[in-house]
Amino acid sequence: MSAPLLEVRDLSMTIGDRRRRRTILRDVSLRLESGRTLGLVGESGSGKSMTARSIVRLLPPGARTEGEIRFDGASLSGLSAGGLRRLRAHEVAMVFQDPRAHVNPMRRIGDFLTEALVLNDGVDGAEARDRARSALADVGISEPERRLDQYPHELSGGMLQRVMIASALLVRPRLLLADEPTTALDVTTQSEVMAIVEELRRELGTAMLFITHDLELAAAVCDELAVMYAGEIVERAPAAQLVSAPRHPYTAALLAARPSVERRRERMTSVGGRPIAAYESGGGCAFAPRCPHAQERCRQTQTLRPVAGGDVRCVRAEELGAPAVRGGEAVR
Amino acid sequence: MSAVVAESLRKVYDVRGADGRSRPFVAVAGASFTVAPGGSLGIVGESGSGKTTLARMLAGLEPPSGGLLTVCGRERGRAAPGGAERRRRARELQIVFQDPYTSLNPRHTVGTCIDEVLRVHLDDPTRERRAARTAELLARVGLDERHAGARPRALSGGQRQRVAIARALAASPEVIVLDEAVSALDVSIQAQILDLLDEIRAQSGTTYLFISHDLGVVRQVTDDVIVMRGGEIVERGATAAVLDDPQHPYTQLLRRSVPGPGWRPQRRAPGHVAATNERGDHGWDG
Repeated sequence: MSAPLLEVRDLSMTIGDRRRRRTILRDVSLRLESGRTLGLVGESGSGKSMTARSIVRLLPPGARTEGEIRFDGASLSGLSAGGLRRLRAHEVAMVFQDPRAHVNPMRRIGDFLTEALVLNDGVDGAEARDRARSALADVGISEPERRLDQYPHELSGGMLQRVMIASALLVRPRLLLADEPTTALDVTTQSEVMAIVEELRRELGTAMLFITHDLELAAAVCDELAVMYAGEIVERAPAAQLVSAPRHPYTAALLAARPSVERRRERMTSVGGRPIAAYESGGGCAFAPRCPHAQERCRQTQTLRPVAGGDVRCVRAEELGAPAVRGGEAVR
Repeated sequence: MSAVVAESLRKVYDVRGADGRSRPFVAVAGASFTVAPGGSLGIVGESGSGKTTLARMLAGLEPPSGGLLTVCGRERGRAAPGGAERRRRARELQIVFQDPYTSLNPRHTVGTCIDEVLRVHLDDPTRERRAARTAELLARVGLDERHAGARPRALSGGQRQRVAIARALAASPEVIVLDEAVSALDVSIQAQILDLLDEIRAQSGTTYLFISHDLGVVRQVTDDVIVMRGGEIVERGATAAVLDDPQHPYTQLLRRSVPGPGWRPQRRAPGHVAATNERGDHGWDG
């Protein structure tokens, strides 16, 4: 088997200053093959965004990382500023939750879209404008010619997110990092934007790391899923398997906590407490204080180990088995 | 008697166009509905549907441009109410917003936030009565005395939303308007708040108007639902019936757009292009 497109090995991260350092990520390992999609799912503070940002080194000040990230077989840790710029310009593109925070409000859509092509790829202005126009048409934007001369404030959130996707895919990247790209959008727009991403991604053979809090959305668009809790991956499996037969109690709890559009339930709460960040967890399993199945041995350090076609960080995974899942509802 | 009656409720804003001339923008185009005491009505729609404008009219934050609004049998006129009338209205209806961080005073402790409501609304607001009622309300939403001394900043998102609910309950209102009140919460916390809302309604018979874009959440906490689009009600009925067998094409589209087992993202129609009216479909309704 050839090297995967992206390989993250034992990535750990702390932030803070000399006096106090806080752990954000603990031993995160991922593999993503060329053209495939991996969903990184978790609640706030789980470390899913930081994992994605570590890849292109978009980190908060004072962040320190350990471990290794390899892209196309080469380590990214020793990458120079120029190398990092080339990586971001040609190989790895990113789309964020709030497009308005990532676009210059003073510049026209056309300038925003053509800048990278002209500066990085040496494409001439007219040709870049042609490509920008057809990219806008590809993401379902009407009157692309006129849009090129508009400013970001003249477009709705859904339209602007389409522009961001057009911009990300214009450079034909090999990897797309999509961090909650549809969370701020209406559901009907979400459906359409994800369909567009899928269409273009397949056409270009771009792999995607999809970061979201929405397990069902991730399951619908990804080949494989990794669930994060308190800075660690707690379960990793093929998407369909993970949502139909979750093996980690936290994955099961996430599935059970989502209200179903198909049926009302007597009671929604499956776990008490709140999600925690890595630096708030003590030794042993970080989920144990909220877990209905916690035992004495859950206080030991847990390792991510193969269980039934996936990887699970739970010492009781085999004996608990997979809960019966009825249309998103996990019942033990 | 219905807890809330809206008859042909309208809201029209004057909007200045690019040419500097003002034009009317119809945010809510004649909405009519009733909610029985102890009932729970879901108001569903996307950006620009008018659902938030409707919530703001119900809460008295926007005067209606037309139509009739009756809460607890009393009509809410358009004239600005005096002090006594405002207090009476607060005991009839309270509102909980999406982000309690922006609706709670950051300088006040949780206890103070609730106490200031009790000072106004308790019949016999002695210090002891207020302290006892504050403790009772915090316990009601699953918080305790330790939280009473904390400021909103020190609380998690779920805890802040519990405080906002306790504060709304402090006025003992007949009706609570919940405007995307669980939308910003992590799912495991959202589940806890949904159960809390259910318990409160079962125990105290509070009427809910539950505004949300999330059909799963609406299914969980409402009996009836109205679906809004572009300021108009396009479908209404029992929540289960509307979600199981939607009749209006827009409700059908909404229902199809919810990810679930076997779901695939879809473009609206082959060759469909996004609306041409830039921000016309957006921008008034947050």
